[in-house]
Amino acid sequence: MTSAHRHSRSPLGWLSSTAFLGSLTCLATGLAMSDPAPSAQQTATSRNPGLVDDTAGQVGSQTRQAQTLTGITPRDASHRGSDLSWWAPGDQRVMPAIAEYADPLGRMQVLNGDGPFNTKGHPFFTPLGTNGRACVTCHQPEDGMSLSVATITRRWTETRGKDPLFAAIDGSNCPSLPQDQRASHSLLLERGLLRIFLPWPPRSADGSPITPEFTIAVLFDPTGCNTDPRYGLHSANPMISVFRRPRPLVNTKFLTELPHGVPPHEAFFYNDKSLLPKDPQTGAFVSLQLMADGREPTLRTQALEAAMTHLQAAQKPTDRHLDQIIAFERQIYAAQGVDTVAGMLSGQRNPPGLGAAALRDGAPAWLGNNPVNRVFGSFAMWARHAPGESSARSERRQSIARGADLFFKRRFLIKDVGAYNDKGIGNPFKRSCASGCHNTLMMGMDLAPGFMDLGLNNLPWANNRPDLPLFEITCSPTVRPQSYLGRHIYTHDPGRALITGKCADVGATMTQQLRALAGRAPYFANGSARSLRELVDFYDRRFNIGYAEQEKQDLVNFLGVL
Amino acid sequence: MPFLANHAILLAMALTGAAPPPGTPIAFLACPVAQDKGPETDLCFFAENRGHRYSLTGPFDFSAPQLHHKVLVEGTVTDKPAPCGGLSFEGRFSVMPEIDPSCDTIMPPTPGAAYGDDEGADNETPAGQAMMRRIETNPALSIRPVYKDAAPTAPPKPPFKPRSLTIWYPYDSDRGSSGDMIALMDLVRYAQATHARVTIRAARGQTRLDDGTLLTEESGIAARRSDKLTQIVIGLGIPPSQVSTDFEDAPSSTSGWRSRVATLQVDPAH
Repeated sequence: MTSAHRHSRSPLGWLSSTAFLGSLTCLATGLAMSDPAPSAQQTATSRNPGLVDDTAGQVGSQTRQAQTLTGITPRDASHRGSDLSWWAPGDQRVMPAIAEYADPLGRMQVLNGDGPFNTKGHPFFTPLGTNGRACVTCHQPEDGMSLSVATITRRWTETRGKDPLFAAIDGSNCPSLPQDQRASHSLLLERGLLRIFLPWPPRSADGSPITPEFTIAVLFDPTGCNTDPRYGLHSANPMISVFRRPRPLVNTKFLTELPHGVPPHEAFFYNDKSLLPKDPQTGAFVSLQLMADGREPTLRTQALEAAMTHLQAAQKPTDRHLDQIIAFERQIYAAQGVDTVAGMLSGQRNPPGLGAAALRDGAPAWLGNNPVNRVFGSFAMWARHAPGESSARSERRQSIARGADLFFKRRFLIKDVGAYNDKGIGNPFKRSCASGCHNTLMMGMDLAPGFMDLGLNNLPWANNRPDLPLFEITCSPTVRPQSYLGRHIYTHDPGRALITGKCADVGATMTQQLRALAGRAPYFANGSARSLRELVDFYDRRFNIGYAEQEKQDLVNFLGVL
Repeated sequence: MPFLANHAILLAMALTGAAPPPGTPIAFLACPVAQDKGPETDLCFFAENRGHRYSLTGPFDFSAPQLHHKVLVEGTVTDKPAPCGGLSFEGRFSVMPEIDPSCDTIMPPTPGAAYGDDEGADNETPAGQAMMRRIETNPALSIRPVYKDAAPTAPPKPPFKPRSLTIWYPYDSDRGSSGDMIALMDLVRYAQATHARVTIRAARGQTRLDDGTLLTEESGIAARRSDKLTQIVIGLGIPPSQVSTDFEDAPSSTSGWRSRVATLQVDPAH
């Protein structure tokens, strides 16, 4: 969403101005094609309770795969190792009200808004399924409640691959691979990617099949899972496997709150002006900011799906357990707290939006792409040398301030972004990072909610990723094509389209929060950027921005303190 | 204006180089052209037909020009000022769904050129300048939201009269604009408060272009429009038993952007 598209009243005159109005050869030897069913009709769109009680409709099929995975030696859930930074399931610890954990750029803050937190017996920290994992396995406090490749690699070395993190179901490239070999876990070890397996055809919220607008063929299958007779597209339980990063489970109030001040988008998708999904428990509209493909509407349904799939639970968690998990997730915040060179990031004479406490105290789900808010607040106090500062600190702080300015002000042509440029804003659209897609106050994701095909999944824009599957999407000639790629699309991950079955959604995923970045590389939903520099380089290439070397470093330094 | 007469006027204008006078109907397909205005401003778009440039502006969020897609421009020429150095028109433009790779022109900015409707600096208004000064002394203000939620609307008071809402659509599209959906939410609140029946009717449009071509929307578009509005109305809280839906799949007898339409009629119970 751009600020071009807001109608609420503002106390500031400028906000009424328009300034913020905001060929490919066949790669595969084993080509697999889905059953052709190119009807333009989607049979169901409403969200009602699904097959596994109140989860969305895909979970029944996922659960069947997770529960039929037998004959594989379980990993050793009791193997703690000597790495004290790893939070193993079942560990009894006390999380302090605020803790700082070392990361490559300094220290990250993790703040429990409800005070010190004892993990003993808490379901977030307790194995709820059969594979020895808990929620914390993939949402580690020391990684900002996500999981970095550095941590994953360390854990593999520490446990010789025996940690439940590497469970065959999704901690390996495919359950059918030899699980004791490092190569079978290469996507997790090298890019931090877990296997996400989704039914084909897609399932509506009530579990009934959706007739998709496209067929899907597996052109290249380096993991073997999409062509696997047991786990693949033509198995008895047909599944598409894609590979995605675990999103950080912090600052969730900013993700779950419906957008403020941008009517009618507290109830409507920006793209097609259909209604947002609803919480199956309350009937209230939901923001869909939690997951890359928006398949689960709430923290509760996300926890349920995760328990049934990632944890391979034999039965759904109790309501009490779910309540405890959600309560924990609602009160935990993370942000960078210290930059090794710039020093403490919060406190007097520092930018007010930095540090975890600012997130705890911040107002969620507001548009921040205006000259006052600048998404992450003012960095002006760091724009000049301050008395008493070392030259190194002063230089770093000035670089961060320049990066903030670039993020907010530097316009470039945002062009051919599917499910974005075509949603009523024009192609191209000449905006900055902040006034384009990363506009939510304090968080930097798209307030819209913003499913879009940035070019991370679909060719020709995607980085070269021979480690990922490549799918050929052929849309029915009777449906509206993807706006810039048409009806014949090559993609590493169909994204939202695996949930909706819509051609226009192919490759589209939800923008992410930009907080606590330093400790949780790699970045993007498919781990394409191993570092913040690679992230900046992707944008520079994708949109032909032409950042100077110093500008790139300024942006990296800025992103590193968020 | 009869088609042949209009065609003759436009042809004469093109031959003489004179701009069509205000009131001249226009309907044509063309590639949009993006005009870069400089490093600090957004783009504007125009389309050319028979030697004349038309600025592509329209109601907020109705449609936005897309390179790689033609636009259907429909309306009446006006003498109002227009951005992007083109003629203005009263009407609508639609982005055509199919991809046209030939539509891929971005014009670089011309030094010294004025494109009209410039955005101005972000903080140039007095209120903006005052706020910026306050932030200098109190940076914490910079992380407080500057926008406000709209005040809740007061419940309707009797007498309760019928109300209606008309929604016009881009060509072959079932997407209403933000403004349309805000009005629809207001209409639904009224219907809820008055226990009203809601009747939805949708049409399939067609347009006669200046060159005589007849463009007719795809079959089924009227049903899609009515179905989508029905889902929205019910999703916003109107009981399904209170909603009636109708559509006409035969193309409208009228021509032009107003033929792509849906109406919602609210009839209070009492």
